[in-house]
Amino acid sequence: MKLLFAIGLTVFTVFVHAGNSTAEEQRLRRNKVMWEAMSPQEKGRIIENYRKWKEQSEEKRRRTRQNYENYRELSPEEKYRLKERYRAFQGLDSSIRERVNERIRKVDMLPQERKERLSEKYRRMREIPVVDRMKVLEQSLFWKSLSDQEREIFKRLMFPD
Amino acid sequence: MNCEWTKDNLIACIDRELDPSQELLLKEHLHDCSACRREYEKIQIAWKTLDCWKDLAPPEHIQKNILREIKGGRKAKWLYRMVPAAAVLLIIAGIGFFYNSTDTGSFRQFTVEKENTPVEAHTDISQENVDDIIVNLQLLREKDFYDSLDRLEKIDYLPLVEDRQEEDKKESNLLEMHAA
Repeated sequence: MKLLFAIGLTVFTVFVHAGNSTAEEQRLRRNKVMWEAMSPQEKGRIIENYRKWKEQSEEKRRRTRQNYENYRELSPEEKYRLKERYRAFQGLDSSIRERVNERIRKVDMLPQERKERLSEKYRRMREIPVVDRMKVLEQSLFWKSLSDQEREIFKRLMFPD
Repeated sequence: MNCEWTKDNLIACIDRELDPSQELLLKEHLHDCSACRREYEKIQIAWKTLDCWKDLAPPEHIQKNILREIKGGRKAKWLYRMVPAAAVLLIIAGIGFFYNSTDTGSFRQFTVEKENTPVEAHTDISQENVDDIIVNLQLLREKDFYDSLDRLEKIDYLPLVEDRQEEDKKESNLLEMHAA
């Protein structure tokens, strides 16, 4: 009887695992269930996003996808920090947001080699405690060049957590 | 220890099937109870009478018939045991197949299923696009966030950029002074 049960268990295992899906298939199934469970409003919002996404250039779509992949690799703390930053950024007035964007464009315009140096420097900066990082920031010329209002905004964006 | 139990176990006692402690209790009871003792003596006499009987071998054909019956019975018993085992196997296999074909099927199965999913009534979006949406659902749910993620990350670089510009300025000043 035990032998029969062992055979049964083996057969079951083989049946289940032979056709067992990959992580990607599981993700797709989960997505499908999520999609079907969504309200018409939520579906409408996603369809709208989809249309916008399709209208974007191939390069922009690639970058968004890259951002999505990079985000998935982050630690929960980093994810939280970026979400909070996004919320803070979205909460800004459009004029202030434009000013922030203007500052960001300065980074975009830098040569690749300098961007890499910046990224390396930033990685080192991330290793020091927030209080010390704040001190470094307050001593920077960038900080000194900001108005009080801008300082408040950048403080919220840089240290959302 | 009562008479009822004693009478029930008299044969077992004669056959030496009782535990030593039970046997002792029974014998103590027999010592005290004359009715049970008489019963015990009757059974003992009857039992001893059986010893006078000779062991006769049954005729060969009867022996064969009995053995065949026993073997057949064993076979039937084995088959009888196989029925629930086979049923269990069948159920497990059925569950396996069902699970496989519905939940853990291949992506092809998944897409075939999707063909039966009605296209949302409130939109004019095609089924092909619905499939594409399902594939990219996480991204599309927070598209704006993912769109702006690389820019948001650059905010951290801002103090460092300004510093670098200052460093460059200092470097160029030094070079100019050196040249002068």
